Amino acid sequence: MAAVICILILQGASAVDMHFSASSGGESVSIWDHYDVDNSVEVSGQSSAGFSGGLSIDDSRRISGPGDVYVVQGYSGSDGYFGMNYIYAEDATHTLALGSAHLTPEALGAVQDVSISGAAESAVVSTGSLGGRGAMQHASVMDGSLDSRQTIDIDGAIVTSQDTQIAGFLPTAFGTAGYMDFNQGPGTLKIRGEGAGVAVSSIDILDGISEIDCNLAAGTGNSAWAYGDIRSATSDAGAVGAGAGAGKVNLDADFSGGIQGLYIDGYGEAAGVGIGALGVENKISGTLTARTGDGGTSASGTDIEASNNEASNKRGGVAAAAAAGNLGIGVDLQNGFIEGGAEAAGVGVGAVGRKNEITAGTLAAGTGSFGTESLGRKIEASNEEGFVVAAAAAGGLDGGFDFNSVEGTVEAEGAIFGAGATGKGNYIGVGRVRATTGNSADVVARDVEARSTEGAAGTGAAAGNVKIDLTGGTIARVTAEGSAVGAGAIGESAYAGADRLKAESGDSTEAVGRGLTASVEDGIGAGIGAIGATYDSDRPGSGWEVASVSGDLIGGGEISGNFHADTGQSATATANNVFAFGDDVYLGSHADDGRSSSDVDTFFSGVFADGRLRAYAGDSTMALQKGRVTGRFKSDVEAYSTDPLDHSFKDKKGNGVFDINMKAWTDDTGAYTRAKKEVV
Amino acid sequence: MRIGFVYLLLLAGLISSASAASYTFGVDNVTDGSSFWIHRQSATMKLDLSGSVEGDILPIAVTPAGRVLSPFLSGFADLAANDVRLRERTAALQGTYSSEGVVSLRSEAEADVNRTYFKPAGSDLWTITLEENWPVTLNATKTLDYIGKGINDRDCAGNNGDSVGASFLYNRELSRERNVAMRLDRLNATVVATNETIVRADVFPTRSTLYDITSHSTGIADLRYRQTDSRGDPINLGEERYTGTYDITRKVEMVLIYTNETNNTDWLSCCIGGCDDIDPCQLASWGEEGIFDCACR
Repeated sequence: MAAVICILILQGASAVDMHFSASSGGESVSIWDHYDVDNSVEVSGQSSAGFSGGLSIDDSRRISGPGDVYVVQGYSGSDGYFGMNYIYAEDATHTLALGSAHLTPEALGAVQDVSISGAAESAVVSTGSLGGRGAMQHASVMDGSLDSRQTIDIDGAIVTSQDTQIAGFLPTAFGTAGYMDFNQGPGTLKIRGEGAGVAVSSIDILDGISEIDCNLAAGTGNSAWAYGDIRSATSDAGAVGAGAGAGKVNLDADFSGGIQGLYIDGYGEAAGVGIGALGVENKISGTLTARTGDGGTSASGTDIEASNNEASNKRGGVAAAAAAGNLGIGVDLQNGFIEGGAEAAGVGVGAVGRKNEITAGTLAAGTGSFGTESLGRKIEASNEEGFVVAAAAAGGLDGGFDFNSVEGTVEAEGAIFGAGATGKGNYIGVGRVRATTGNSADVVARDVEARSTEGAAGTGAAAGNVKIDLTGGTIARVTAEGSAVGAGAIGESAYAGADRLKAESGDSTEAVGRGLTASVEDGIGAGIGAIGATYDSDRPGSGWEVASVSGDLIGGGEISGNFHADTGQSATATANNVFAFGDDVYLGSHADDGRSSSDVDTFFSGVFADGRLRAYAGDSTMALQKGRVTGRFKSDVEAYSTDPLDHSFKDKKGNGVFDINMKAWTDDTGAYTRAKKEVV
Repeated sequence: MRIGFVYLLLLAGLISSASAASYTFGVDNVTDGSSFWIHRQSATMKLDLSGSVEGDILPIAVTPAGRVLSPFLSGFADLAANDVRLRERTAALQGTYSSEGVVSLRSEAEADVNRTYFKPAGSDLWTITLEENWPVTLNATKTLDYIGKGINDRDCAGNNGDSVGASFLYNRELSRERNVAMRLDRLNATVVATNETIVRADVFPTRSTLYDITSHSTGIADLRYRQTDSRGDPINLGEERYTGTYDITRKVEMVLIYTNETNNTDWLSCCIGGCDDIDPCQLASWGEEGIFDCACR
């Protein structure tokens, strides 16, 4: 790309320039042309300056023929706009360019429809600017052909667009819009800027020919935005990619008072979305948008598809993602404080292996005063062999230090969702997923499934936070908490899924897996569980409080239930409506508060239904399991306490149909267990 | 002492630049730096003016103490629309003066101005054309009779490169009658260039100029005309001077299809060109010396 831009700048040593301007009533419009073309190229054009019914210039032109073409057409109006069109073709077998423009003192509409074939290098560029803001479109390719219809519309706002089809080496199209004010004074710095862009490119390493078919637009007025309809971007062997992003920055800095009077107040936010494919027979498509505005910065992609194929033993990958984040910093050393914060959210899907395919109805991310959010809908990923994954996450980080009180705090929280499959015949699907930060960090996913014909599949969600208190230069206290749910399976027809997965970190943490399921026909096995944990460095004992419920099986079978973990009232983990079957199945409920613990462990071969698992770790501990076992089973309950020092253990076993009720707990009086089985 | 005051035909500021329409057409050759530029300005407007003056140019007392202003008469007229111009300058000392004049100016600047360019395949020859259709009609008649210490009276009519005019200087007795009729229909320009240089540039204002004068003079009488081609070079040129007492009748008519744009350097370089820096509104500062220093020939 840099090479093409340099060529654009360096051309024009032998050329004809033409100027045409008109004025009336203190207003003016102007158009100028620069032509450096081979003799083999035919050029014709006409311009008409109108004075009745408002000042205007209408222009049309045609350029055709083989050879070198370097043409620039510029426009300006007395209201302050400027526009430019560039056409560059080096040693083309043919160029056909049809252009038209309508200029008034306050508005510009320009269209360039350019077709270049067989050129060593070719590019078409359109730019527009007004009041310090600008927008542009760029299309280029080497050793190939290019068809691009580009427009510039300026009327208060600026909009540029291109509808482009390119084939050749490194076909590239992009559009940008925005502004940047950079003011540097004696000891001061002030930056205001925002921008948006969209781009698509492709590269082929075999025959060098790859293709792009897209419709891009970028504009700026009170905000900046970019839009891209990537109808297709392909390469036989290599890589294709498309992305859209937007960002905003606002910075004030004053260094005039030296380090002791340093003042910095800055804020930045950005959002992006992208699609990519790397490998053989790569193809991507989708609609991408990104924008800034008073409401924040966002990026989204819809109808996203990415795929690639195998060739010999070559492998490839496809991915799509959207993410957004912001960053703020404040430094006022004169008043003695430093503070800063950052938050981010993202969602993505990918596949690596053979015959990868991903689709996403929507991938979006945004950030602003409301917080930061990412969203995905109708996400699917599959391949014949390799791995596929979908994930969403959100997190935030805040910190501050007061030099006057010599105290500071650093806080962080995050939430994450993931689903993946690896092996052969992999597939994941997510109906909807959303990750946000704001007052809390949370992630919610619905209709999640991950499966592998022969391999592993898993899904889960987790959330956590940590807070570090600083006094002087040392850490005074650390507190942390987290909750997670998850399911996974390894073997033939491995499956993991959930109707709903949720993880949230706010004043406390919570993780939910409704309809959480793990199954496998045959193989290593499957597992499922929920865990909640807290940590406080000031707490007696280890400082940890951990509660978990889980199940796993070896061989074939299934485990499902509604799993939940939270740290609202210390650490709690529960599972309701638990169903499990298999030849070698294990269910566990465990609680540990750092000084005492309670555990229930059940092993069975058969079916476990209507089950309930629960664990709690706080001022006391408790572990519980209830349910109906059909088959052979053995269940142990054990409680252990250090203050007072105590221990209790019971177990039950049987072969038939039983309702079991197993419980272990500890409190400030000791350790206790209860074991019941009733024949049904 | 009887004080006579003469009021003279005065035309000024006929075209306001703020309301005017204009355009600029230019071709630059980047290779050798050759260039061709043309700037045109006009307006859609109408001017009709007629008047007559008759009186004695005499000293007048302006204060009770008897301060007396020297008697003089001065006036000028500048009319211009799309390079159709009429300039008049008159300065007279004590005497008897009478004059009548009629001016009619019509100008249109509403039609589109068109530019075309073409370079055929297989050639490096660029043909760039300009087409303007901003017509102007300017008709003016003037009669003058003077007897006194001296009068300078000059005029010049210019039409997109063509010009014709007369100067009567140091006349103690002058009578003249002049009719001017100028018309500009349209302007066409053609620039032929290659990637190496501008080969030629032709400007073709379609125009006609009629200048008819009958005079009786007792000083210097200068008569001039110039007709130019499409590149601004004079193709017909004449200049005559008559010192003494003459009766002159002259009629000049120039009609050209291919003419060049007016050269901004006016051949009437004395009062018309040389006194451009004198504010015409500052009539009080125009004393005898200034007037006749200006009329330098």
